[in-house]
Amino acid sequence: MSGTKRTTLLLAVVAGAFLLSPLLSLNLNPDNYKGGASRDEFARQKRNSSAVSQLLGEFRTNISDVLFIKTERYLHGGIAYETHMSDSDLKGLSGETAKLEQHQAEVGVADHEHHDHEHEEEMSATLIRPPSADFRGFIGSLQRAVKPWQNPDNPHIHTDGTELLPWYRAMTTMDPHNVRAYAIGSWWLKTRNPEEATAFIREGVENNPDEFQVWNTLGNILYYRATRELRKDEPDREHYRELIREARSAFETAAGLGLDARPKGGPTGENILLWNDYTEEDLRSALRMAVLLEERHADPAEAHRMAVEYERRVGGDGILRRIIARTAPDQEE
Amino acid sequence: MTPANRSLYWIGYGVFLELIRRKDAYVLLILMSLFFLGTGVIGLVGIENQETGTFLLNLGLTLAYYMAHLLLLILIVRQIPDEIENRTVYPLLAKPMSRSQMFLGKWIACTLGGIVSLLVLGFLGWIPVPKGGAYSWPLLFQGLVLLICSLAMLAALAGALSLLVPRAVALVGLGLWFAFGSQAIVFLRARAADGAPEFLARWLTAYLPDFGKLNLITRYTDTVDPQVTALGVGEFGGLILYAAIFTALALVAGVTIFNKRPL
Repeated sequence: MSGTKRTTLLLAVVAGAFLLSPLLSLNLNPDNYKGGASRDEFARQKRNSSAVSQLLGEFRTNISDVLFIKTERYLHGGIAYETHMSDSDLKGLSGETAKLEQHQAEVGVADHEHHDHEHEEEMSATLIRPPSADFRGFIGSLQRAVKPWQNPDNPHIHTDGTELLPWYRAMTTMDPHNVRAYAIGSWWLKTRNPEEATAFIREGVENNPDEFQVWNTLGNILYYRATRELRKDEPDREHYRELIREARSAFETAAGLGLDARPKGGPTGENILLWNDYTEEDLRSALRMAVLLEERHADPAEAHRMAVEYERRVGGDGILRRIIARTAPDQEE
Repeated sequence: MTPANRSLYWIGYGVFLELIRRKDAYVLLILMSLFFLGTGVIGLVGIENQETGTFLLNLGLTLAYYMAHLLLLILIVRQIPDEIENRTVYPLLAKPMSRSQMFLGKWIACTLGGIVSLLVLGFLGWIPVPKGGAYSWPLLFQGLVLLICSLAMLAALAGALSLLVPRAVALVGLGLWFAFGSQAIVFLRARAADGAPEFLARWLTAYLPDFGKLNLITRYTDTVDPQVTALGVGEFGGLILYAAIFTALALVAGVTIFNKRPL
């Protein structure tokens, strides 16, 4: 074979291999695996509370976690409160988003009507101590004067969260497996730019396809968009149906993954370290939404089957039981 | 040794000399040595728990990963453009050596330089952390092989790109793509999902080189959890093939550009 022919053949092989390479690369995901210390919330807490981590930086060595602290400060007008990152309630997203909904209601950006409850102000201590607890005298006064600070007994200042958004982008860039950052970031985006919120949480799904909470958040955001569409003067019914269909599929995926991840017995005993009440609440929300959307927008008989199956696996869910009763074949007759 | 092989040897030797004479290499080596000393001291004092040890191991290996790739990038983007600018390319090509051989010689030499840097820096990041048999040896081996593939792929892409755009642009552009490319691909896919057919978006973005696929460091340090295991033979081979396709394409492009480029 002549040199020119050999070169042409080589070029053809390389070009052909490149053109077909997506067949290969789309099936290669070495980063998608279950388990691992880097994704274990409790390993993260243990790591962050170690002396080494404290030496390496601001009590939180993981850059993504440092950024999470930043968002908390921005939310409180720059004032550093003792953070709640080690609180077990952050294992679930509903606990965190409930707090944020209170913040949004206060600053008037939420479009919800259900914030008529009294805001229970967190009584967190500030990182810079108040004068009564500060032994440093003049130095302490100087620090309180030059750094953002207010007496921790006063109501917290809450910003509207706009400036938090870049931090969530940075957090997820640093750690694409930070499920909480994806969920809370997209939650913040939801009211401002629902399309961007969907794209952001889709990134979370792409990076964490086995995490039920990102699927649950995707379902919630799509459902939120669908209800917004319906509230328009001239709603696009086709778009509405498409959003509902996608939301239903996302909730069903969340339900399947969540049920697989849920330890036997749910949030009890030793399980509480891995699966607490808030995680359980997230899962039950996904189960109910999957069934409700199936009932209202697809096949009530299938919804009945799903509700029975979900109730069998989690047990004691009043809403699922009501749906089971409502969709029972004899009821339809 | 044939004259052409001898010329390739001298190219490789020149690249190696450049690598060990560069200040950048020493700065990175000093930084990594500081990590080595710091972690060594922490190890002597005692690491409180396995999670902190895992964090330090991940940090050390990740630092070595970025430093080795950065060093390689700095090294290769200067190779041929500098030879052309300083007119030293003429005596090189006057030897019995084609432009293709020169380009491939530079690529091989730089990749080998990158591998040496990776091994030295990686050793400094890996050795001081007490491991206690908690991490997977097969995955360490797989990770190392894929990092070598990643270096070869980056060298080929940078070599080709340095012939098309100014060195600084090639350095910054590829450096950013190396660091954030995986995220950019996911970003593009997520945004395409609402408009264009999802499969089309996934297919088109798969033509972008994704260095993240070749980085198994976190998977390796995650093997402290027994659920996480080494890659299967098929996936491991697939990843090597993935890197080989991009490397071959970049080499063909680089050689073609260099052959057609007026000196």
